[in-house]
Amino acid sequence: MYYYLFEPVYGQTAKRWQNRFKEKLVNAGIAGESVVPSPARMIDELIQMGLDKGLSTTIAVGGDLFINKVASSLIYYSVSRQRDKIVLGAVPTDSPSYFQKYLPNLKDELLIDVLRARYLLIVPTAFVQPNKFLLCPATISRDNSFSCTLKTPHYQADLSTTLLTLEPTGSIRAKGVRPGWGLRWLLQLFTARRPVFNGNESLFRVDSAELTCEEILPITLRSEVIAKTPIIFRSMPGLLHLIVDRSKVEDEQ
Amino acid sequence: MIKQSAGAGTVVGSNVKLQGTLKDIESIVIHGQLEGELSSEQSILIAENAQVKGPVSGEVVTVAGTVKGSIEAKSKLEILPTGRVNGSVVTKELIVQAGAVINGKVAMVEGKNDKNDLATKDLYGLSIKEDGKTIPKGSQKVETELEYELE
Repeated sequence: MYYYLFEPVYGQTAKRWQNRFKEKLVNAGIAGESVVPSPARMIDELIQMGLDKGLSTTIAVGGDLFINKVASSLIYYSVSRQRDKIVLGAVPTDSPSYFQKYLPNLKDELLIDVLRARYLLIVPTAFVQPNKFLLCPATISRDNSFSCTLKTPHYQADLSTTLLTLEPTGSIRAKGVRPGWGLRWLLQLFTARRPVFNGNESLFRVDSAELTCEEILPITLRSEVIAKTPIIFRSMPGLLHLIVDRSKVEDEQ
Repeated sequence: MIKQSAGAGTVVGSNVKLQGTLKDIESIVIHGQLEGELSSEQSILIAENAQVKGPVSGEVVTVAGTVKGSIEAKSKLEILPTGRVNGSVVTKELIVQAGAVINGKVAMVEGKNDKNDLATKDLYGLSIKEDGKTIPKGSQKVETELEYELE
C-alpha cells in the first residue's frame, strides 16, 4: 500500500492541483494513505508513523527539496529499523526538476502510470553528517572565493572556490574563480569548437571525505540550509530504490 | 590549451594543491599541483602549468606540465612541447614533441604489456632501439639522457 506525503502548499491553484491529483490516484487504483506535514506533525514523525503501520512504499509529492527531505527521513528511520529494502516514489512539482533524469515526463497521468508500474532503480545517495541524506546535489557558495580543505583517507586537497557542489554520487565539484574577461577568453567563446576546460574547475570522486572551510559556511539544497561546515561527506550507494520510468531501468540493464 | 572531453574521473583544478595518493579507475586530469603518487587505470593528462612530484602510472600518459618523478605508461607516453619530465620513464610507446624535455632513464617495453615483463627487466639492461639499432642487453649499463629542443 502506498503512503503519500504531499508538500504543504499555499494558494488555491496549488491546492486544486493536489485535490485533482488525489482523485486521479483513486481512479488509477493506487490511492493509499495521504498525509500533509504540518508544524504539529513534521516529516520525521509522519515517516515513522508510516513505517510503524508497515506501509511498504512512500511517495513524496512536491518540489525537489521536499522529496529530498522525505527521502532523507525515510532512509534514516528505515536504516535504524534495519529494513532491508527502502522504496521511494517521487512526484516532482518543480519545473525543471532534478528527478527528470529518472522521470522524463512530468505529466500527471504518466507519473501515475510510473507509480502503478513500479519499476525500481537503485539510485545514488550520499550522507552528510550528522543525519542528512542527499538525493539531489547540495551546494556551498559565496560571491567571494573561499578556501577549503578536502581530506580523504588517501589525500588532502587545498583549494579555493566560489561554488562547491556535493553530489549524491559521491562527487565533489569545485568551481574556481572565472578568468578575467580578457581578449583570449572572448576569442575562445567564438572560435572553440568544443567547450574548452579552463582548468579552474575540479572534480573529486570520493567514498568518504572531510570538508573544512576557512569559516563556517552553510550547505544549501534548493536555497534551504541543510547543514554547515565542517562536515563529513560520504557516498552511500545501494540504499534507496526509486520508482522510475521503465526506460531508465532498461537503460541501466 | 589542452582540450578535455567530458567524463574525466578526477580533475584537479589549477587552484588546487593536493598531497597524498590520488588513484582513480577512470581518467585523471591535473591542472594544479600534486605531491604524491598519481595512478589511473585509464589516461592521465598533466596539463600545462601543472606540477606533479611523485610517481605517475597510467595506461596512457600525456605530459604538458612538469613531472618530477618516474612515469610508467602501459600503452603510451606523450610529452608535449611544454612538458618537462625529471625522472625515469617506462613505456611501450613514446612520443616526444619538439620542445619537450626529459631528464632521466628511458626504458621501452616491447611486445605485450605484461607486468611480469617489466618486473624482470633491469632498467640498466633493457635493450633500447636507437636509430634502428638495438643495443644488446647486458653489454653495458644503459643510461640514456634525452633532451629535445626546439629545432
